Amino acid sequence: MSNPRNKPKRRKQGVAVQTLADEVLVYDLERHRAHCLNQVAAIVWRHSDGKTTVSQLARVLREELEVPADTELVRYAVDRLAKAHLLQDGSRVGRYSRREFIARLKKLGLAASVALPVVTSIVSPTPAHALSCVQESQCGAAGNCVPCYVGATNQCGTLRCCNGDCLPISAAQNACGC
Amino acid sequence: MRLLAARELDLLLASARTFLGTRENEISSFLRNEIDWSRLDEAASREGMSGILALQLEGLARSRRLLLPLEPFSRALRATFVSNGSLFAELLGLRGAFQKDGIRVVLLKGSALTTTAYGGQLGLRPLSDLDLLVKESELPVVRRALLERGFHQATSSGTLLSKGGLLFDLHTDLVNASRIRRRALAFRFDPAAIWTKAVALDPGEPTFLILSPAHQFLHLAVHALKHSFSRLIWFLDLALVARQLDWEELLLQAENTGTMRPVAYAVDGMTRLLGVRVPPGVWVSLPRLNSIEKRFMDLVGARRSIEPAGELLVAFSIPSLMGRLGYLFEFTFPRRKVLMEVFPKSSAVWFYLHRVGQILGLAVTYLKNAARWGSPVDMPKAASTSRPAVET
Repeated sequence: MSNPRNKPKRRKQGVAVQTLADEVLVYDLERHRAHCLNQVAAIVWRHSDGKTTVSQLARVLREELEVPADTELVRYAVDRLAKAHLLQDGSRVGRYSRREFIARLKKLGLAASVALPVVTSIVSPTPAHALSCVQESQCGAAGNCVPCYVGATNQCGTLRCCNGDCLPISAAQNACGC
Repeated sequence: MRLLAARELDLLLASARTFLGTRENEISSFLRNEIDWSRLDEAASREGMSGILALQLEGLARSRRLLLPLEPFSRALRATFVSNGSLFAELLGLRGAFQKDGIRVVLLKGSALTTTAYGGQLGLRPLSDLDLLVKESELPVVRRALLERGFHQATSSGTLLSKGGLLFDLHTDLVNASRIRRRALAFRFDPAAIWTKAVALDPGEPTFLILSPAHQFLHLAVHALKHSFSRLIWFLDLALVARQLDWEELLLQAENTGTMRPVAYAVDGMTRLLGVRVPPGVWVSLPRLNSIEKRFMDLVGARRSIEPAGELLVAFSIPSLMGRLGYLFEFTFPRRKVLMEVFPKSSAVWFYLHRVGQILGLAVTYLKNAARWGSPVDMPKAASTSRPAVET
């Protein structure tokens, strides 16, 4: 018999969804929170129908994004989605900290090639705070976030793009307000 | 004043047409021109089109691997998403209170369209407030439910309620006749028919309703006319609703409600700006536009700022001369009670002078144009300026 905990199921009630080219926005109408899902998180969430197993989700990721996704990556994504209350209760398949997960990837030599699932939460109803949805980006040779131009809000590790410069996150938060 | 430079307007219209599917993706051809992106951003925001444009440009950038300055458009889309999400979260929060008291409300304009015509994608269609049609007898109960959720009255009439930046606008009729009474001489919606034909937003759950497609189209056309069709998104709204229309039913309802002329303006605008096709018989049934109306639609098509011309054109929908004159007087010199409610910080004298100045300004514009009659207003690309031949 299959283990239901191995088959995450996304919430359908009380959420509004906006699909974009590279991300999905989800508004939790019950908690008044908006979330921004990057491609990896969005694919996992979209296919979490309560029937698809974690290993099948990993295969979907490999096919759709052509990334070396494994079940650990999916479990990490499911953990992020569950924390944001975007999955039905009981869907959590493990608990990971971001640091642990990256350490695990490094150990496997995959850290540079794997796109991390990111779920960014935005507290509403303050629309001004929702204007930027900070995204993980590729890290340039010098460890900088690329591309970084005025108006971009992507980040790499502890650096975040702010007014065209990669600054430490705290400095970027002060200068750019996000 | 022209709202938009030609290239930016072409791009905005192309994004609307692509969204509608009336043209294949034509945005990329307009991107070959030099675009003033900050101007486009400003214009898209003013026309209510930021979300649609962001969606189209993001898709294009991804599929064609183009580097486009998407950030301002994406930011606008996200802001709309969160702002609209907040409004809908409040609306859902009211459901329990409404169910308890057996209250039904009709979602109007953007609040209905976002969930239906725009497929629930909350970032595409900006809402400045959430409009609800409420039965007059149930207004106090609805207002109380909002007050209990932390809203407070934003105007003396108590029909506009706010909470933080969120606004709920409660209506008891579709034409806002409480402000300009003689507007009801032009547009005569039968309240019983509106409520009878309204349909549940969620099947089996009758608390939140939406207007029937015909009533929705008529209401949108009347509302857009009131604001001189000054936002492009309103034409997109109309075009999306038009897809579900039974045109015969629409024309019948338009005849009954006195809204044939607003429908004619709406159809003319949808056709020339968005390339929407309507059944040939529709053109034959709609009233022919007079020279003032034609000029008005030319200016709308060229996206010129012409408010409050639309309000003045309402007079053409009033059957009697005395009714028209009375309406124009009431529009120019609204009652003090209305002024107190809508413009509480302006003196009545200042407002009346301002309104007379606006009307004189429009008259001058019209006369200037009439002097060089026949010279076309600059039209955006791919826009048609004439009715099809079948009209005769």
